Amino acid sequence: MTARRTRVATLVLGLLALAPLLAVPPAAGPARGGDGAGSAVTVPGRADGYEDFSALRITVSQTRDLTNQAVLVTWTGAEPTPRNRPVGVDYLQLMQCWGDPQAPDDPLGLAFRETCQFGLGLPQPAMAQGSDAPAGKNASRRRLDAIAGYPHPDPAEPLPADAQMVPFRTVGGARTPDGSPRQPFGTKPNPNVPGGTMDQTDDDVLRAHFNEASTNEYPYALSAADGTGRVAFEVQNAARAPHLGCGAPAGAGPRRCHLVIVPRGRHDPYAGTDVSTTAAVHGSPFSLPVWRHRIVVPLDFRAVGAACSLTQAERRTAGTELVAEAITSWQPALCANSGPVIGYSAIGDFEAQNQVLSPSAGAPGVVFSSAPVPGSEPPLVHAPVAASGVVVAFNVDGNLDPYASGGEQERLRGAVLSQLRLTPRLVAKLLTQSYRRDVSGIGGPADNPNSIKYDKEFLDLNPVFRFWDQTPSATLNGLMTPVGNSMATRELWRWVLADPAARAWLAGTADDQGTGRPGMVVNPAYQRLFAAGAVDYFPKADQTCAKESFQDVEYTNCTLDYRPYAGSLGEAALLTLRADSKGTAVPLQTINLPAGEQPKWTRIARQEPGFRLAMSVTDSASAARYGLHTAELCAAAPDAAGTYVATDCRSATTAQMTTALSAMAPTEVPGVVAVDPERARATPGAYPLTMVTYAIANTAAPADARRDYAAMLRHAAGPGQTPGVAPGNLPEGYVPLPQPMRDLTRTAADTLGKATAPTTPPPGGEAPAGPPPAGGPPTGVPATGTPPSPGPVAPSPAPSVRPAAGTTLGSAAGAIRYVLVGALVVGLLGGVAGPVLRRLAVRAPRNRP
Amino acid sequence: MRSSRSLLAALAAVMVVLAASPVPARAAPTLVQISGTGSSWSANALDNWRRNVEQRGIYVNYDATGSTDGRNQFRNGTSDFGVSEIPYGLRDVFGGSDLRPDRGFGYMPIVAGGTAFMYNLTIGGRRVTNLRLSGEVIAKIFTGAVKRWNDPQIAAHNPGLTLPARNIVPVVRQDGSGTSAQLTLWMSKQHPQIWNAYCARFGKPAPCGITSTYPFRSADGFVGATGSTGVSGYVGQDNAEGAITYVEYSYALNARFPVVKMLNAANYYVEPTAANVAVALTRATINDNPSSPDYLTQILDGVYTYDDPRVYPLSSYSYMIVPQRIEMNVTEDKGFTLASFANYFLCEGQQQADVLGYSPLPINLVRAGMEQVRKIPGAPQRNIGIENCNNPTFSRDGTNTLARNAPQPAACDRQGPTQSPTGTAGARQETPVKAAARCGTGGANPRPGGPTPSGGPSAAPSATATGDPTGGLVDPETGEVVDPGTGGGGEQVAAVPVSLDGEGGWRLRHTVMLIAGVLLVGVLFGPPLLAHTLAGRRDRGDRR
Repeated sequence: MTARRTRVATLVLGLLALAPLLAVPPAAGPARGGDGAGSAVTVPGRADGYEDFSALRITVSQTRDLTNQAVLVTWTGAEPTPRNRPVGVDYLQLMQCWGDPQAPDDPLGLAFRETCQFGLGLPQPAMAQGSDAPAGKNASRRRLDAIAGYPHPDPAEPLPADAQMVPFRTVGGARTPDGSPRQPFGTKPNPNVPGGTMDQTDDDVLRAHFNEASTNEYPYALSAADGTGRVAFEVQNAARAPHLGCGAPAGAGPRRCHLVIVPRGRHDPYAGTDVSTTAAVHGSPFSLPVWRHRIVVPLDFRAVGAACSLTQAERRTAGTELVAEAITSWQPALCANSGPVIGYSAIGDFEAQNQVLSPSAGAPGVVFSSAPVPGSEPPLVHAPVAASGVVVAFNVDGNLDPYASGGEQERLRGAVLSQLRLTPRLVAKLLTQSYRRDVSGIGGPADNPNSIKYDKEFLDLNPVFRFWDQTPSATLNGLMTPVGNSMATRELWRWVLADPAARAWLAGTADDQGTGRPGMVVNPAYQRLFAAGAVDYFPKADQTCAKESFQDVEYTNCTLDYRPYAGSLGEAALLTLRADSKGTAVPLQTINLPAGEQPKWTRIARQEPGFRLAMSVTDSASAARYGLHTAELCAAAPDAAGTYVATDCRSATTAQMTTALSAMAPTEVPGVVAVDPERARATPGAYPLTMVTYAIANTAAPADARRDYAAMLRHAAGPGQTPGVAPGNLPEGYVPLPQPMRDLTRTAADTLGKATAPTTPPPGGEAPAGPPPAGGPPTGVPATGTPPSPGPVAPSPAPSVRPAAGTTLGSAAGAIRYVLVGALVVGLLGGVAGPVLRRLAVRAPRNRP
Repeated sequence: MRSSRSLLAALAAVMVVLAASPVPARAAPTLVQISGTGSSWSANALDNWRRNVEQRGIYVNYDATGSTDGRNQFRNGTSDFGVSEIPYGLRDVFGGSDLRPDRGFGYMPIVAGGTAFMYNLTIGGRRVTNLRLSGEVIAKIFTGAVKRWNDPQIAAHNPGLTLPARNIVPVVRQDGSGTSAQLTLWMSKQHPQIWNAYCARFGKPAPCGITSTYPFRSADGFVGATGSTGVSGYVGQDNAEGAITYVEYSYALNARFPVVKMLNAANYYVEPTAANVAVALTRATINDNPSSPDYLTQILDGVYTYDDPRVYPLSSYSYMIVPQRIEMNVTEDKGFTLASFANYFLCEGQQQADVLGYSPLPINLVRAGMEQVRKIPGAPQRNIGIENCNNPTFSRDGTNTLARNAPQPAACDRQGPTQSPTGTAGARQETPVKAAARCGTGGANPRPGGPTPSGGPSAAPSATATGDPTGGLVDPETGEVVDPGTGGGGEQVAAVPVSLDGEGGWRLRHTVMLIAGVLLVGVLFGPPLLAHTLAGRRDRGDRR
């Protein structure tokens, strides 16, 4: 392991940006689209040579009409990946290849292996320490060095004996060198020696075609104790991976590609001895005795469509990120056939409302927001375009206590959990740094649980966590939340505060942690933040910092270092997939500092596959994009024995979100409805955090712009509501709008397209699909005991006028101010005691007879 | 049927695109995925461009790990492009100078913007949105020389506000940051005595100069945070009252927080809007010596002192560091993709700048940027041209449309005894000012037809204020009502500061002080007196 390799490994950690590299099951969200439906394929493993994979059954969820998307790869009948040793036996490796696996002149697949996108040496899960680690090349294309017992070089290998790796060949015909003296890798500048050069590595050579941020290779797919496993594998078409060319024209139709799964066994590939407890199966999946076990699944792609013109001007739109995935899907369909190119900028709901009212020439003609904009100057039209939900997404593996048997839970060891139950109060606990581990340096109320895995309420609802690894750090690194202000955040808080138990708890009432244990209370830094109702951001209010000094300078690690924000809803989902909190913690790194650099806090490590416990607040479309499961939101109450029992669980499925659409409340803008947590809760089977996003268009825009925006609205009301992965369709995670809402959007499109002069908003009337409000006022959110419901209009109470009742910490004098008093009291007592004692001492002898 | 037809159309379009691509002797370059790292100052713009070019078949990965990391990764060849606010090789007494990369590269301007001062301050429970400061006071705040919000130097710029006696909490970047570099460059040029004196406290000799690594001690009341989301996230906390940070304007917009109106050389207080930044950058000079290693990097001295009333002095732009040779994994295809991406964001992408809280690049910078694009290997030469560039600042006569049409600041924003109540950035609601500081009828009251970009929220504050169930503002430590309930009333806000740290009203700390005082007296005089008394009694007793 050279310094260079270490450097690369570090970079890998920093660079992985898109590829869903870590195993997650399918989202429990809306069903996948109709395209390619029924194209799931199950393939068996084989017994061959020293390995028997005949019990293995691998299912790929979709194999036709593919585009850039994730497909679900699940399997059964695998040998469980051992959790008490470094990963080296019994796992799978997945990759996408463009070549022909059955070419008559290539019976061993030697040419085929050169067409696979694989080999950057991505980091191996640490799993456990041990001397039986593989020789470090299992995720690469490299040839093995001499290893005891392995022939060197393999006599069956047709590559030159001095080749360093199996070359990669692009669909265009380019082939990387193999690193032998006849095909050397080349050199690159040495960053540490000005003017100097150094040899390229195999990774450097591959990075000309694919790199850590762009590859979809999956080198370590682990199997759970019950022999199952799941991976969301990102398939890439020719637009994203032109060197593979999948879906590009090739002969009669789009090019077919293949998903290749290489199962790794537990036997020395040359001698046949079982090495599962002593060593590892060494080498690249392309080494001959490993490659022979490959399982190949054909992938048929949809023809890659034309991209939009590089020079055509955009019609600008801007607004809530809730609509981002849908817009990204619609854009290429809209520009087809000389249609408009739509530009979209993700900005907050509130800034979006400012923008649509702005007379500035640069302002977008259409904005997206979950809150309507009242008023008629300028005249606006509101059109529902997308329905999705705010979710708590999670990525949790059954990390059971390695030293104890979990009984019937045992099968979940290492498996991906698909169900997690939360209550409004549990969400409130996670969002208020009330678990002690969520405060930098471990703080907060001293009797509170260290983390959620010790919380009785959570354990009662999710019993598998009773068998969890006892290591304190084997837990959640905070519920990740996006930065900024949004209606989505406000709705989450409204839902929390609509629950009496959560509201009381946030106001300072302790919960019940069982007999003999003190109840859990809210972190005092948050206690007064919700007195005026829901807020539209996620506070990080605890100002406690861990502190260390180095060379007379004090360094602090505070809440925003320890539990930082995600930059967006999308990033929150991605970080959940990676199980990476982005945070830093003690200790301060002061050793081996590069010249001139200040010490840094320790980065909280990404959790390893098989050991993950990560959660975030995100939206259902982002969760679906990364294949994340979403938590069930339940009501729960203690039974006679004091055990919390979930009574009413709701999840972000198509059915439940659709039900919620019919239970929305009207707003002050006619025809515009918005989520109402009380009403959603009262509607059986309605997911309470369902959100409708409106396109809000200014009818005073120029006619040609209005025509293009109207076309966008018509698309949104038509093909844009058909679920599917094809460009133009509705991506996973959204639910199709009910017909009355689509009609409303078409009407709005007509109004917008026809408007020649400022017009009035579209005919409003009833909430499209909902029952009429039960006699309530049109804007009010009724309900006794709920926090005062701010109008659904965005401008919120938060920034303008607030009671000055927030905690207002000054500079930290804290308890120190009492030290002086204490010292003086002691001094005074001492001062008084002195003369008195002296007096007593003087008096004592006199009293003696 | 319809779908098969559109499929055919799509196929035909592919053919057309393929046929139309420039065909050199080699195979035509194709669009491939590219990856970059760097600045978080410009990340909000880059992220939106990335999203919008996907429909045009361009896939770009970007990781906003900070300018310093962006320069390092580009130098080491681990990213295809870097983004930074400062060039390589500047003398940095805190962060150390970074080496120029040993590879062919150029600097290309990508987006302009204002480094804004986002703050969290309330008076009587109402958020202050119209704070004004001079550059000198800002420099003193970020060097710890002005420590309290009611400092007379701050009050002098805010005649309409009664500022609270609260500590200022300067929030600075603790990671290597181009935003820190911009601030310290400006301080070192405009307020060298203040900046050098601060540096001296960290053992650095004058002149101190630019640094990406802002020096601070938390014992001085400074707070360090990582990334632009870190500093803006800190200031945006409800309980972070008194905090102020420097961050790109778009972050304040997203956080719904106000920014400081900064005094310019024409004695007007202005906000870093797209127009005000555009006006300022007409005085940016760029290093136009192609043989200089810092070719195309910015020289902002003229911006800081430009005396147009609309100028936001802390305006600047950030660069993309682009490869100019086929080496270190840069292929012709990657160059082609990067050049296509650049061609998009120099022109069409600049249309989004204003919406996002940036300022579109003016024509001179776009022209210079295109020169750099042409040098990227694989760049589609004939597609790069100013003629087809849909940049919002361009005009027929070559002037900057945005700068030319930039509105003049209100008279009320001129330095003097009056103060405009108008809000800023993400907090457009007005902050009422003292009667004596009000401008004429036109200034203090909302203009007829509603204040321009703020129409939406202007209605809300009063509605929510009257909805406040408590009906008054209560000081949390004393329980006293400090604002008897007219929540939205203007005069109250200006006149009654809720002085939270150390002033006004009798509180626990005062009780503690009194007890301490009494005890001190007791400690000093008690023992002798007691001893004297006891001794006296003994004497009397003895006498008896």
